[in-house]
Amino acid sequence: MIDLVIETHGLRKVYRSSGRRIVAVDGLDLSVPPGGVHGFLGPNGSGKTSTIKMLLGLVRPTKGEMRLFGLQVPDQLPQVIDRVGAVVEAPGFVPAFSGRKNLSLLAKSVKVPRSSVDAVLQQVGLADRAKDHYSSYSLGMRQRLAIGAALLKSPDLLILDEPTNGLDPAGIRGIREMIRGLGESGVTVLLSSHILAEVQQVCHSVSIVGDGRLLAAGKVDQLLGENVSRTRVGVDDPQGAKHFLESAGFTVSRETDHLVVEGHEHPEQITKVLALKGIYVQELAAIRPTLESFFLKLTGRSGEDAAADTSTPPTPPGDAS
Amino acid sequence: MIGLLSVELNRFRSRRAIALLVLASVLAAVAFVGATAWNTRPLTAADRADAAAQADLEGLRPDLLQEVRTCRASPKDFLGPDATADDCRAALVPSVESYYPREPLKLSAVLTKEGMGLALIVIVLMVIAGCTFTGADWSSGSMATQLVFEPRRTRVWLAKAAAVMLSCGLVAVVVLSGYWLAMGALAQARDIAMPSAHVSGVAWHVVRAVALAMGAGLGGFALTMIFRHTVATLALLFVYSVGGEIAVNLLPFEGSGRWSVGNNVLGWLAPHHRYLDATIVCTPGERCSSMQVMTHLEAGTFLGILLLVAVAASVLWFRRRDV
Repeated sequence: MIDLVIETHGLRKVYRSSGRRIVAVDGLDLSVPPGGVHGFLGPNGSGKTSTIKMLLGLVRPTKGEMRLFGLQVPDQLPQVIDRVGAVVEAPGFVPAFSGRKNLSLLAKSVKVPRSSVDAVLQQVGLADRAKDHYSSYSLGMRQRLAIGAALLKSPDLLILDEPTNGLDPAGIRGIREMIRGLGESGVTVLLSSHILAEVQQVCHSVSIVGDGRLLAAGKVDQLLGENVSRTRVGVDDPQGAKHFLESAGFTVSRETDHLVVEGHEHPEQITKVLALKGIYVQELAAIRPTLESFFLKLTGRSGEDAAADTSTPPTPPGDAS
Repeated sequence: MIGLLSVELNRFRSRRAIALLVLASVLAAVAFVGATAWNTRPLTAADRADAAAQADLEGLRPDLLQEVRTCRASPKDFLGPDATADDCRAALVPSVESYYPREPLKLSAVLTKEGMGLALIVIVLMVIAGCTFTGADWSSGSMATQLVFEPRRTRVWLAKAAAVMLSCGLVAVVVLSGYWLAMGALAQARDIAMPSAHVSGVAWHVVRAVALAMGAGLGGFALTMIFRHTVATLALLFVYSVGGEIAVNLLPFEGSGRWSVGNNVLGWLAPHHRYLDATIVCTPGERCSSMQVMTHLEAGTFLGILLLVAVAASVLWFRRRDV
């Protein structure tokens, strides 16, 4: 039994474009244990796609070590690639071929039986459109076909780079359920995303990156502070409610017509305090931290700093993350 | 590797752009068969009568008759030491055949004209096929998808290259053989003799043209794997062909016509290709000629080295590049 499915040490990637050096990944140490869904979270331009491309041998690392299933990549990638399925960036297929033909050719190139093609087309909900040209597919259908291609080899490791991009709400839900199911069935899924809610809903563990470096890693609940409660409260009398809640020991701030309450374990504590004072709650909603706020908290920067930073570095060639 | 090759062959033949190029090759062959058949059609009685009338008229020209008389008086001075007075009329008065409106079908003549033209068209179309095959892979992003399935890049390159070469070779064999079989059938239908030397010359021409079509397809493919864009590669090839011809003529040393791509292509296809090398300037009394001959070996070596350089650069580039 291997300890880690994905392992990188000091991984670095520098792109050179028009005489400029762009550091996309800067000494990244990543560890993904076997089984479950592991989030790879970071804002756009944080080095997620570059890291995934290096793991898959599409991009050469400038420095550092990588291992998949304990084998050194890219040198030993051919020995392990049959166990890996991946969707990287905007997936590319031959526009003039049907979805089925695109998958059939990929399957044939790695000696996967043709029956698997129909099975994955069914799995990703494209069986009815399998004969249509890829060029006629919507963005969501293209994304689903890419996921189908990644599943062709029945992989032990599935690497998904922003897999819900372009999908409609129903499609997003379907893909997330599928990812969860794959994680529960023993497949290790690395889910790259910049959407915090997606990671929170689907992942067991997460690595958070920014500026090409690992900022934090661990269980999702612990890292994203799901137990740290902030609740939005709507009442008729915000001023009175604020007074009573503060008297009860909560930290309360007023934001226009509602209150934001901190320092409670369960929201019912708030309703109980207010009801006893004759104030009835009209709105009660947990406030989840956004990736932006969480990221800023991790880096200790202000919103203005972050905005200035993200506007300066150009996206490295071929890197969407 | 066989599985990969089979996949690439499938991808090659399924591309619409390539199907159109193959169709264009076939249509070109059909058009050339039609044109050759029409241009060499048998003479009619009217054609022969017109030619005879013109020859008779020419034979009555006073200046020509005077020339014949002068020749008869001194045939050795006029036609050489072995000439007799009886040779003068035949040598100086145009024959009826020289007034025929067209030549009959002759394989050796077709080989240097229509046959050569068709071979060049097929070769150019195969260059475009090699370029567009892999250019589409890059522009659609499917190259990255393929490499996620098969990360051994040299194998991927070789499978694609083999598919291009085999397919281009097959198209060239079918189109060129078809054309020459049609020519053979036409000659047979017209009771025109086909000397074995001519047939053998045609066969070797087809072999060399097919080899060049395979190399041209491979070259187009190899360069597009470097530039990742069909149009960019074709533009570069155009600039190299046209600019290269100009540069060769401007080079400050004699015999630079040897390095012209056009001369080498024709030197490979045509037997003993003769070309005018403008860089060779002969002074009076000097034993030299601006007309040069390009052998198959010289042309094959030049084109082979060009192809080898493109292939080596392409493989090395593809193995190392970020996708």
